[in-house]
Amino acid sequence: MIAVQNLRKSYGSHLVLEVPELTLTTGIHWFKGANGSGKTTFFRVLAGMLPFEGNIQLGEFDIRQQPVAYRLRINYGEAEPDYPDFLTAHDLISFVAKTKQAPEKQVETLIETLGIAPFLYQSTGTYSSGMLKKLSLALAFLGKSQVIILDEPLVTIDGATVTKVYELIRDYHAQGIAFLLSSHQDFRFQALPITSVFEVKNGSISMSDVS
Amino acid sequence: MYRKYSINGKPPSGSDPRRVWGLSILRKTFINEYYRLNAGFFFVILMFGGGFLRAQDHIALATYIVQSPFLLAIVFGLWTLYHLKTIGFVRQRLRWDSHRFLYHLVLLPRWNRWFMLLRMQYWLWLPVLFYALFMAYCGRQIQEQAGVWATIAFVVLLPVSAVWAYEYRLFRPNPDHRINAFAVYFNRQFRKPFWAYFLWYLFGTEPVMLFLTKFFTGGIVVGLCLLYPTDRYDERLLSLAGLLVGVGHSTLLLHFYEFEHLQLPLLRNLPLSLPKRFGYYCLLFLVLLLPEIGLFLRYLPHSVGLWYLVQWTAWVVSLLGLIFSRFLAKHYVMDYLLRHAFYAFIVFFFLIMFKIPLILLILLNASVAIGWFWRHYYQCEYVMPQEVFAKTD
Repeated sequence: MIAVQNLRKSYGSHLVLEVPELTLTTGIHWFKGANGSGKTTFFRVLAGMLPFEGNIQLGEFDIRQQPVAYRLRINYGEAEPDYPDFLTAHDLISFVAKTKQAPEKQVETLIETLGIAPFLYQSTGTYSSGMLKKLSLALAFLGKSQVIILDEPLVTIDGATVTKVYELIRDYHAQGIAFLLSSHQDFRFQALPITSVFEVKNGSISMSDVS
Repeated sequence: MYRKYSINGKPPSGSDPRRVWGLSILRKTFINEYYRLNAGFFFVILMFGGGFLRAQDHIALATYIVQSPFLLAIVFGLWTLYHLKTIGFVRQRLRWDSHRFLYHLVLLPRWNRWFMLLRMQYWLWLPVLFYALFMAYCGRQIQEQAGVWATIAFVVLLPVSAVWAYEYRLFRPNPDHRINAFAVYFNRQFRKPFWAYFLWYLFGTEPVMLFLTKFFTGGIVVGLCLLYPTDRYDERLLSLAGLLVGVGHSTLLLHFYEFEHLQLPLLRNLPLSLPKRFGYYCLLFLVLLLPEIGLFLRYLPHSVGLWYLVQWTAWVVSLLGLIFSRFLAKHYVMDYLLRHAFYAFIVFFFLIMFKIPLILLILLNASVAIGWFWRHYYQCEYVMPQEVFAKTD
């Protein structure tokens, strides 16, 4: 599904990530790694948010040759979301839903499932970190993507929402959508049918044992 | 116990060590940063001042100002705007997470803290103080006591108001975010269009910068439109006004570039085609320029046709597009920006003076802007040297 070739990402002269080859199939992939290992950078590169050297392909779509088709099929949820404080969840959800071609029903379901309705029309400047995280998760699930990347999806949200996020991931996965998840804690994703585990370390990515 | 916090490791002999600690911190966090970030701004002021006026003109101007209550009021108004700019800078920095440790200043004795904040404000006022001193000297030469004392009183007293502004922020570290019922009602009825997010940002977060920019560019438009019929000028004068309006928006566009990268990184993940994105930016620039276009229409000289107004609008929009696309092609910091904007101004100045048709300049700008945009939109990256490695998790 996702094919990465000769990926190199540097900040100035400092090489932070080098992935000669990586193929990710449909499934739930867990990326582990310490702080500063390069997980977020890798995710942002895959999501088309950062420039890089090399090639990335999602199915038949190349990130550079078909930038719109590629981005329509890959979503990203930030680890520490932060939005302009004058925007509301409604503004952001409406905008992203339109660009990602999300059906109306999906928007309503996500707002209800993640408990966003009570603060839908408040500006994000009034949100707690948990509310911001719920909003970022809703944005990540919008549309008809083939891959959803969730960076630390369970951080700052309450236990009830964690359960709902697990359910959402399982439901979407059952529809053939691939997930790339990251978390520092080993126990976090035990409730999910993890397909593969990757270790991000010293700027490289290697597959490790699922168990 | 405070000795270890003193400047350069030297014991702060003869003064309260807490005050020395505070001043050192304020110097590093505000004063140095303010001048570093505004180096281009002062460079342009110096270039325009020094480039167009001779030494005797400067003396004549300062003498004239100090004698005329009307001109003195205008100068005091400009200094007040500068004052607001400095206050805006400090208060905005105080809202940054990285500057939250400065709220500990409230633990210092009140008079010490006030004195420190006042000294910091005078440091930020240094360019004004120098010019005020020059004006006072010129006024004294002609025995214009009232003007001299008014100038001195103004520069001594106005900075005191900054102490109150900083105190207010220091004692209210978390701005009030109570939910406003009217805002919720408004948000329920209206959805903010994506291309206008930056306008909301400007009005909400950077009103002083917006006001200063519009004050400057609006003044240019009105001034040159009024100047036009007084002599045998041609449309090149108005094209120069457009050039100044475009270049005058450089700082604002840099904020736009930073705003998108820092607060809306998700935009790059959205499936919007490049023509659509570019179109949205042009629409934003057009809306942003509505005050200048309105003023231009209002003060349009009789001999200038509406077709020129259309060209003039396209000219300024193309300049904004060019500047913004340049940011995508090359990462700028404020220090370089205004300096380069000044050089660009000189190049366009000569192109206009050599009577290159405006339509050709518009096409040139648009072509280069589109080229840069297509080539660099997905390739550009906001560089934050001090934070790069913290963001690589």
